[in-house]
Amino acid sequence: MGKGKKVDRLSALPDDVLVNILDRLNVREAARTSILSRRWTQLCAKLSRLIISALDFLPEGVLCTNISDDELVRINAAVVQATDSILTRRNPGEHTIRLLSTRFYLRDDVPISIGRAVGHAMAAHLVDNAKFTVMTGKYEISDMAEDDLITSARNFMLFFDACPSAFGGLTALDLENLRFGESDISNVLITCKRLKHLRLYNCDSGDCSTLQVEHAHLSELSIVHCMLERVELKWLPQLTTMVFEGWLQFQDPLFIGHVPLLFGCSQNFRRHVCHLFSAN
Amino acid sequence: MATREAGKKMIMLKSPDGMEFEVEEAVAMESQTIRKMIEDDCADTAILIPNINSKILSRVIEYCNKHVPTTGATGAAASDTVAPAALAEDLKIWDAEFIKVNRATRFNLIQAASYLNIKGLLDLTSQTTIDTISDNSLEEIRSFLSTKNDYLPEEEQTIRRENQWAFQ
Repeated sequence: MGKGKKVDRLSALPDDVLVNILDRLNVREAARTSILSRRWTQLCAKLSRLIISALDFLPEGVLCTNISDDELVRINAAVVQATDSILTRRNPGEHTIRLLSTRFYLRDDVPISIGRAVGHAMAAHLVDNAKFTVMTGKYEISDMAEDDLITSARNFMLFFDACPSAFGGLTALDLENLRFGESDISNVLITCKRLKHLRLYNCDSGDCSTLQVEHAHLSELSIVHCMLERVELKWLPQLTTMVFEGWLQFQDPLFIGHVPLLFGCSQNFRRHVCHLFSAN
Repeated sequence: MATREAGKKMIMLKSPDGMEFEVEEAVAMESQTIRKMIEDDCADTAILIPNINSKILSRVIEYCNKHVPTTGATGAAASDTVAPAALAEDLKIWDAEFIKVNRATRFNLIQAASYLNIKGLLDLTSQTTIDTISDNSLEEIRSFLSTKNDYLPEEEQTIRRENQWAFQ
């Protein structure tokens, strides 16, 4: 194969083809190619799909369900470095970011650092889609104490309050294991005015609480294993897909208000999870 | 080469080395570049495909022939309905055979897929490069791409420091 001295045919390809190839890698792999040569450094500044996930920094062969606390802190810090590094090398306004997706743990001030970097990126560049996937590092719902859920939700709200510009430009949000205060979810929905996709996994505002959703742009809502007694879809003019899983068996759990697009295709109520916007 | 069938519009594609390929319009339109030319009415006689020799062009046509959506009895394109898993599996096996080519051919195919804007073919031909970058050390990648390091030593130090997170 590589004889070393041969003509570099791959580098003969135009920038947009090479960027297209790099866009298929995760940012960690793509950033490594910066070391190759000056041209590859420039290519890395033009990526259009920036998917930065804590899970890409897991040591080989280690599952995310089985990491030590030190490891979690280390990989979370790596996400911050990656986000800063990959965003600051871009020339403002030059190349549109089609997707900026970050996945990190709700831990220390990492979320706020990422939120600020994303907020700055939204001010400096065109960002078509931005997603936060906020993990708590806990996996067994049955093992989770109510206090943990409440503490996590408080930490999330501190993150949310500190980063209004990032949340204001967000198009997708994926949350897990949070027990919010009463008006928290509505506040999040009001600030996240561009939101199109929302996934709540084991999130509620108290055991057997009611979730009310009003949003101008939300098109996909997933509610998975949430301890909700009732979901009120009050005003969701753009909602087309609704995913339920692990529903509590109460009567009449769903109140449907103004949801014209969903009602038009009510056969599409699916009991399985559709990954319409999964990043990877 | 394609034979003329009743009711199917044919398009002539010419490579720079003088070969001509008659293909169904639907097959040629797998290429977004050619589709645009046809839709803009720039393609009444023959389309010259620059920079793609006949050997590569014939392979590209072979790919498009295999991947053009077949028209079902209802008139709907097969891609609009749920494609049977068997068909997808068959295509996958076919693709795997198709891409068993040497590096030079593969890079030529990447270039052709890019110029002709054929997403599926670009995905397929780029994959080995992607796998190489994902799975190998920097020196192996450098050798595979035969890229020359043009950094000054101190520049390389800086770049390495800025990208240290990617090597953890």
